[in-house]
Amino acid sequence: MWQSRRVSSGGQVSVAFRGVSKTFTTRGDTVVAVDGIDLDIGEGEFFSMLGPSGCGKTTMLRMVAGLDHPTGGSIEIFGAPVADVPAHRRPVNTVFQHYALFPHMDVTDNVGFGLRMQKVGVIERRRRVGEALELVRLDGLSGRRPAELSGGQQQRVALARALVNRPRVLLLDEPLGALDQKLRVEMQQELTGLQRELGITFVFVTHDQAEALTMSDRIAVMRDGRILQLGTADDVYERPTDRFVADFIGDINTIDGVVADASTIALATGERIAGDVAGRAPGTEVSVAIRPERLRLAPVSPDSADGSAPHPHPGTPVGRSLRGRVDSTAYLGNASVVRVCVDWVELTVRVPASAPIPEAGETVDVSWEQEALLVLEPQTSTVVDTADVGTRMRP
Amino acid sequence: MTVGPDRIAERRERRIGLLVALPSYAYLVVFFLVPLLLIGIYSFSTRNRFGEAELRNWNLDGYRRLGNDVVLDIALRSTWLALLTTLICLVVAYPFAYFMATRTKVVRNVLVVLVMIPFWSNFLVRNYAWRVILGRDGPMSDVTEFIGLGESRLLFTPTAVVIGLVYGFLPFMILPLYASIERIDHQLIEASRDLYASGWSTFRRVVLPLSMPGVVAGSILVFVPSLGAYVTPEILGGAKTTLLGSYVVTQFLAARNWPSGAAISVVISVVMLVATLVYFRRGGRTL
Repeated sequence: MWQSRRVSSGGQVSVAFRGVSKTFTTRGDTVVAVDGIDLDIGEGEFFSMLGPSGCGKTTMLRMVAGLDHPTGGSIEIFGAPVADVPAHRRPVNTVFQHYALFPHMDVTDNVGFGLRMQKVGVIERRRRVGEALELVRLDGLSGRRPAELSGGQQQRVALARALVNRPRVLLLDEPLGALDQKLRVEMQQELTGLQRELGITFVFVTHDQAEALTMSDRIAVMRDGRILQLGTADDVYERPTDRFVADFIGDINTIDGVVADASTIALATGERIAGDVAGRAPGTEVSVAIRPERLRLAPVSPDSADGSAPHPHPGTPVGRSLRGRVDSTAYLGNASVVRVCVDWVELTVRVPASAPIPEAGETVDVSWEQEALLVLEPQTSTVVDTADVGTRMRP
Repeated sequence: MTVGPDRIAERRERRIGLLVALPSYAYLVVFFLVPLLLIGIYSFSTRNRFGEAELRNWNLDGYRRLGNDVVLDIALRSTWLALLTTLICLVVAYPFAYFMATRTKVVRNVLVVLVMIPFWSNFLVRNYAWRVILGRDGPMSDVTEFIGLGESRLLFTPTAVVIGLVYGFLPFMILPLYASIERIDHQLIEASRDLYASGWSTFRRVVLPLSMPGVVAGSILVFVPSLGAYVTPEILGGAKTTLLGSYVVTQFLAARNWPSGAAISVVISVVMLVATLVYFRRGGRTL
C-alpha cells in the first residue's frame, strides 16, 4: 500500500525553493514561519507538505502563489525566479482551504473567472468551463450560487476554477479539511486520479498524515519551518529518520534507552534488546520505535509467567521480545488494539482480526522482526539535508 | 394535526419576542406613525381666510399647488443637490472606508471614533463654522487669494450647500461602507489575484460587488436627509437657493398654508419610500 506509485516524467524541476525563509513580525515579536528551506519539486509530481499547524507548510504554498513573499532566499517556477512576478502573473493556481468561491457569482462565472481575466473569448471560455465542470462531474449545476451547493460540490467548483486555467502547478491548501470522512476519501481518489490524468504538478498541503500517505509521490514532513524528512510515503512511514516524524505519521511505540554495545540497546525499563547501533558510542541515548502492526503477541503459560526471572519463552527470539501484561483491548472491526504494559511502558499492539485476542491481565510476550525496529535520536529533531535529497528525487 | 411541544415552545418564544419589542413598536407608532398620519390628514384639509387649517371640506388644493413651476424648480434643485451630495460622499468615503477596513483592529477602532467625533458637537454650530470658513474673510478666502483667485465667493451658493451637506452626512456613508467592506473574506481577494485579476479588476469584480449592501445603505442614509435638509441650506445657501426643506417650513410658518406644506411633505415621503424600495431591490439583486 505504501509503495510509490509511479516514476516522475522528465525529471524537470517545476518549483524550486532556494534557501527560502519567511519571518513575520507581529507586535514586535518575530516569528520564523519558514526557516531556510531548499527543495525541488519535480514536474508532474504529487508533492505533499505535511505537518502540524504552524509548521510553515501553508506559508510555503502562499509564497509559491505570490500571496506571501520570502524574507530570504528565492523561489523559482520552471527555472525562472518569481520574486518580481505578482500573484496574478504566476503560472500557478490555488485551491483555497475554505474554497474562497465568489459568493456573488454562479458556478459558471466562478469557474470562468480566471479565463475572463486572461481575456479568453466568450466561446472558448464557455467551452473550457464546460469541460472543467465535466472533469469534476458538476455539469448541470452551472447556474447555482456557491451558497446553494454542498461542501463537496463547492470543493469541486474550487478545483474546476483552478484547473480550467490549465496551470502548470496546482497548489492545494488543505482542500479536503472541511469535508466529512466519507467524502474525503472519495475526493482523495478523485484528486489523485485527476493529477495522473492531467500530469500537472500538485503541491498539496495537509496536516492529515493518512491523506498525505495515500495520495503523494513524495512527502515533506515539516515542523517549525523546517523539513524534517523528505521522501516517499514508504520512506517516511517505514523509515522515519526522526522521532517527531515517526510520531506524527501513524501510531508508533517509542521507548528510550542507551547504547550498550554495537548490537545491543539497554532500555530504560531495564531489558536489553538487539538493535543495530553500530555507529553510536556506548552510553549514547537513543529512542527505539516500532509500529503497532509490526508487533506480535504470544501467550505465556502461567507457570513460566510466575517466575520472576525474565527467561525467554520457548519460541520467542532472544533480544527481540519483551514480556508484559495485557492492560486493555479494543475491537476496531478489521483489527484489535491491545495495550500491553512492560514495566511502566505501555506498548500498543495492532492484532489482525484473524489472530486470537488475549484477555486483560494475561501475561504475554511481545515480539518483532529485527528490521521493524527503528533506532532514532531521542526527542530532539534532526534536520535532513534537503538540498541533497532534492537532487535525487526518485528512489 | 396535533401540535407538538416544539411548536408550543416556538410560539411561546415568539410571544416573548413580541413582548420585548412592544415598547419600541409603541414608541415608533406614537412618535413617527401618528405625526405622519396627521400630516396626511392635514394635506387634505381646508385653509380658511385667517390661514388656519380646518379639518372639514376635504379637498386636493394642497396637491394642486405642487404642479406650479416654483415648486417643481425647487424639487428639481433639491433632488440634484441631494444626488450630487450622495455621489461625492460615495467617491470620498469609499477609499477611506476601504483603508479603514484593511487596517489592524486597533487602528480601525481609532478611525471609527475619529469618524464619529463631529457628532460630539452641535450640528447647527458646525454649520455656522462652515459659514466662517467659506465666508469672505474666512480661511477659504485666504487660500483662494493666495493662489490668485481673489476672495472666496462660495458662501450662499449651491456649492456651499453641497460642501455643508457632504461634510454633515459623510459619516453616514463611511460607516455602512466600512462595515460591508470589513466583512469581505480576505481570501476572496487572494483568490481573485490568484486567478490573474489585477488590482483594479479585483476591485471591480470582487470587492465592489460584495460591498454593494454598504453602497446601498450609505447612499440612502445620505440621499434621504440631503433631500429634506433644512438647516444647512438655510445657513450656507442664502436666499437664492431655496430647497424643499425650507419651502415646507415657509408654507407652514410664513405662508400659513398648512394643507400645501403637508401635501408636499406627503409627496416627498412617498417618493423617497418608493425610491428606497427600488434601490434596495436593485442593490439586492446585484449581490
